[in-house]
Amino acid sequence: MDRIEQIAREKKCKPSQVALAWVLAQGEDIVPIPGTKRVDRLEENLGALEISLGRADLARIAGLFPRGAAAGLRYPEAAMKRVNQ
Amino acid sequence: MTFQEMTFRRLGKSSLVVSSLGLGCMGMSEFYGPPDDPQSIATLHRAVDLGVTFIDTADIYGIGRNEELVGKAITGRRNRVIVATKFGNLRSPQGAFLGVNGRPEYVQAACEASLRRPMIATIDLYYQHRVDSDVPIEETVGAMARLIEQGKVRYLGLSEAGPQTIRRAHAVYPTYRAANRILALDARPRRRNPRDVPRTWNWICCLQPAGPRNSYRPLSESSGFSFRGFSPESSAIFGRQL
Repeated sequence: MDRIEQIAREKKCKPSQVALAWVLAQGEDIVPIPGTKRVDRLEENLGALEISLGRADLARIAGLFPRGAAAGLRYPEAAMKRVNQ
Repeated sequence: MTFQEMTFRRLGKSSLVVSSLGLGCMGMSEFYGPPDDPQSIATLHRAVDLGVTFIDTADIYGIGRNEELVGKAITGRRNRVIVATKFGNLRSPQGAFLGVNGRPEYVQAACEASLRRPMIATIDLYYQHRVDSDVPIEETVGAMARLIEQGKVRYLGLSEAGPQTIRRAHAVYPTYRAANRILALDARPRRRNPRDVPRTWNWICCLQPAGPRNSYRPLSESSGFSFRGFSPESSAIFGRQL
């Protein structure tokens, strides 16, 4: 996570904006729908649209989080049995 | 970094084009602290003013209250937004999760309940929130397709569905589509642009970004599905408070 903060500092943005920019960069067929109930967070999220992550940036992030590095389940184990069916 | 100008993305091969970032409204009604409706409405208004056109809710968020909140907030702005809502999860009036229901009669009833909230004349995008493993997906999708026929819904989606379920659903729907296309379109009072016509698929798929995306990628390319990522910042990769 420190490295994401480093990338955010380089881009002069927030780590959460790096996260959203990364999701946006995964394909034109993806539309993230971040949730918020605050105007300032909304504006911060939209700021992610202004951040361009180049190939080098994406490679850096991929290096930080290799495929399969994600840990933990989205829902508790019992609930996971009900999804992706 | 401040926001300058909205960009847009097409959902799959459908004719539905939405802002590149949507607004998830679930947390406005529960799960993320006490609701603050005036603040939430201000956020929704600001989103629309800044060009966000994609508003996401579900019938179970706040047990109907979230749909009501969204409906109230977009009054007077309805023709500027695409509203997506979902059916299929059951909850008690106290909020306990009671399971899922994908039976055709429930699909119809849930849609009509959503439309009774002060929300929308038509649901732009209607998702099955979670697949019901006790009901063949073909039956659920058949009922969803009838909603298009009835002019209640414009586009369909599946949430948290596995690749095999998506394939089966996709195999069913085109058989309905040819017959329903004209009816569904003519029933829509808000058609603004002749190009806003479902020329291809009315399907859009939704799943979590941390999931097994590789197994979905061929579907995306061959069948015209789009992926909407939910909770992107809380996915496992970015699991820490940012």
